[in-house]
Amino acid sequence: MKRPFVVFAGLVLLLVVGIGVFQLTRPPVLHGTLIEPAKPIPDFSLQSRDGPVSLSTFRGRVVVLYFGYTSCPDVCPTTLAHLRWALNELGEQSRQVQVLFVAVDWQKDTPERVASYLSAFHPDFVGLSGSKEQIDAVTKAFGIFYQINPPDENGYYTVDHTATTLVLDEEGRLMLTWPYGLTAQEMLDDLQVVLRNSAGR
Amino acid sequence: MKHWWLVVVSLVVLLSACGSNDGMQHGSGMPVGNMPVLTVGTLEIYAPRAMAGAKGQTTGGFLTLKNTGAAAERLLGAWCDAATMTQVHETVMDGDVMRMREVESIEVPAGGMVELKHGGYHIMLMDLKQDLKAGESTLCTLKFESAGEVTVSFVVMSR
Repeated sequence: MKRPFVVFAGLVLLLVVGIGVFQLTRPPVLHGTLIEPAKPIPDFSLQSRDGPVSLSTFRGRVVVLYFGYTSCPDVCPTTLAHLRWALNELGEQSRQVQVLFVAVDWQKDTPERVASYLSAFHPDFVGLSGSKEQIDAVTKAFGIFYQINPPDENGYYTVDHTATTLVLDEEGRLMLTWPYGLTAQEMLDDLQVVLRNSAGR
Repeated sequence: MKHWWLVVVSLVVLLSACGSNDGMQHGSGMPVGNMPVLTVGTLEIYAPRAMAGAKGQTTGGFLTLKNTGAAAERLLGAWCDAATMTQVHETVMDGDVMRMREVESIEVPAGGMVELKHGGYHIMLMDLKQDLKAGESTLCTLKFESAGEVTVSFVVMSR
C-alpha cells in the first residue's frame, strides 16, 4: 500500500471518530423551552371520568399537560395525535410518561365528554374537568390563558386558549414547554432527553 | 489524486451520520391528489376530508380549492349532513394563544388556490348527529359565489 493513502485513510478515520465523540458528548439540544430551575407547581385536583385526580397522583412520572376543549377541531387534535405517536414510539418507556388533558370549557366539557373525546387518541390519556373556579386556579398556576367567547345566535361558541404543551418532571415541577407547531418527532426527541436525564438522577 | 473516490465515500458516510433526523410531520393535511374530485367551471375541489368524531362532538373538515379562472371565487358557506351546524372557521395563532373565528368567506384568487388545513381555515362540523368513523363519508354542500352550490363527499379520516 502506498504511504500517502495510509496517511489519508488515517486522517479520515480520525475525523469520523472525532465527530462521533463530539456528537455523543455535547449537551442534548431541546426543541422546547427548558425552564431552569424547574418551577414547583401547587398540587391541584380535578375530575376525571373515574373520579377526582390530583397532580400528585403522577409523582414519579413525567407529566405532559395540555389545555384545550373538546369542541376544538383543529389545534387540539393535532397536538394529541403528535403525543400519541411519540408515546407509541417510546414503547416500554411510555409508562414513565402520563398525558393529561385539561378541558378549559367548563360550560360544556363534562368528565364523560372529555373521556370520550380522548378515547379517539390513546387509552392512557387522562382528561380532567372542573368548575370555573377550579379551571381558573389551574390555568393561572401554569400561566395558561383561556377565554370562552360569547355564543352566536345558535348558541355555538369558540374558546381561545394557550396552545402550548407543558412538561413536568417526576416531582411535578414545570421543566419544559413546547410551543404549538412542534413536530411529533421533535416532541419524541425531547421526551427521550427528559427520560434519559431523569434515569440518571 | 488517485483515491478521490475515497473522499467521496467518506463524505457521504459523514453526511448521512450527521443528518439523521428527518423531523416527521404528523397529522398534517393529506397531500393534494393530482385529480380534483370535482370541477365546476373553473373551480376545482381536491381531497375533501373530515376527521373522525363521536356523536355530539365537533370535528374539522378540510379540502383544497383551486381556481383556474380569471376572476376570484369565494367560498361563502358550508352545510354537512352529519353535523347539526356547520361553520367555516379560521384558526389564528396570537402569540401562544389559539383563537378560532368564524369567517364570512374565503377567497380563492384568480389562478390561485387555497388550502383548508390544520392550523388555518377549516370547516367546523358541529354537534355531530351520529358517530363519524374513519372510512365512512359524509356529504357537505359548499356554497360558492360564482359556482353556486356544490355537494361533495368528505372522506372520514382517523384522528
